[in-house]
Amino acid sequence: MAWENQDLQNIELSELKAKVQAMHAAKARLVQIGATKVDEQIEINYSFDQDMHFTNFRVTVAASNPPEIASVSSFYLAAALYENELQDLYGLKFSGLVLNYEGKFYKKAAATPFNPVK
Amino acid sequence: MSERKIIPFGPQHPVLPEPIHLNLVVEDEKVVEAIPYIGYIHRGLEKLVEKKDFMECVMVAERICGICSFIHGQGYSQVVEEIMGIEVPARGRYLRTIWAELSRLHSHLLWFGLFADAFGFESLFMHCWRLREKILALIEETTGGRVIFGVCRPGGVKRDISPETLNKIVNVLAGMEGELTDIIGTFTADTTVKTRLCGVGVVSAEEMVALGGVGPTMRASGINRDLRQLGYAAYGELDFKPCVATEGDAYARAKVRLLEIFQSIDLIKQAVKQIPDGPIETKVTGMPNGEYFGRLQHPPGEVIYYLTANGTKFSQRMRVRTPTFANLAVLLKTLPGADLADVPILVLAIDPCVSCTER
Repeated sequence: MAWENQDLQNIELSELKAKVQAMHAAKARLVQIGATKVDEQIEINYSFDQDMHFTNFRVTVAASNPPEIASVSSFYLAAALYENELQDLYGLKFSGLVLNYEGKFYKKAAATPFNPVK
Repeated sequence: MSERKIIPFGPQHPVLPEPIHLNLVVEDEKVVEAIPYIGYIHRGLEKLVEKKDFMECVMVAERICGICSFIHGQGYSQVVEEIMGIEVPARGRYLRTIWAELSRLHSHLLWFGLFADAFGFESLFMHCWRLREKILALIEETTGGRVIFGVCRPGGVKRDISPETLNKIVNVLAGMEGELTDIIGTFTADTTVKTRLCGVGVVSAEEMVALGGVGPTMRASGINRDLRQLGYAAYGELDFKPCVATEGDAYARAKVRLLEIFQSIDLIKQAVKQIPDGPIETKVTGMPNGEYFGRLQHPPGEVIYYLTANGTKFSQRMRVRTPTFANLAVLLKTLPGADLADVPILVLAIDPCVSCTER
């Protein structure tokens, strides 16, 4: 028995903002933003729920010197906390973050513990 | 003009069962801004999946939370099953549903007791925790553990429940319903309770969607969404409708949880009535290879289990997005403008589970 059918899409970083804006316009709920470090890359997952249908957009960036990512917190305020988490744990940088705790959201012993600088 | 001061709230505070820190910027007795600071009890549990056999990791998942441990184990197991295409036998799915609802009952009663204590109603706190003990006794009798159940694993469940014990569960819950009605009557009829909770921390449905709130916190703002509607475990075969309130305040958040206590009792009764005979688990062979986002209904709200595996016995990554993290944005929205005396109520109204949040 399938739990639920999920739509998982790999997208380019340049498409991210437009895709999220479209989800916001369609009144989808932001479920989560999370990252996974796979080898020397970081996969960032943006998950949405619309009438109990799960959609996930994935962008992949280099783990070393990752490019600046456009914040989606102007569409979803909830995104600000997820983006602060990624900033603190993975060292990712977000442009246009509406609520930026500047690395002070998480109490941590290392600078970017989930993506340590070599 | 009044002077602005920063009052630290936590990490140790009488109303906080677990440590979280908020810097409250206050002017007179009003909160102007709240700045969160988390990470006091990070244990690196997500990282452990890279070092432990995927079958053993269910024990790691259960230890993410000391309150709603079973549903963490269930979430992890269901994600592994989804990746590996494992079909759990019907009896196993029903047993999971019964334990998940017992877990919700004890979590909601624990929360309601703490919430009552936060607004100064100590006898209500004691009555809630007295009733919670009855649930914990049932959990102990059926699993051997009071909080860490240890019965769920990929493929199904480790233990069965005999028909006699299933009937006993129904009888104990039926006996509790009268007591719960009395307690809830006290809560809903008490003027002081209403004065403390009504109109406090109001969030509209539209704001709730923008803030990404989940669970009873979200449903208290009139949003009719509950992940049990997806029909995982045995929920698809039970009569179920989400409990919703529309006021969007702290009182409504409590009301939704109180309704869910009765709903959990009803779901357990239905599951006991319909549970089929048969095996309780499927033997797991092979290694997981793939990824999946699993969504379940935890007592405080939606929990996300993401697992990616590459065909070895060690998974590549497990990510858990807990309901408290999602509801943190709701808390930060409701605190500015609140009276300082209402801060404990607003914090507890989201049912904070900090161990979960920090993994």
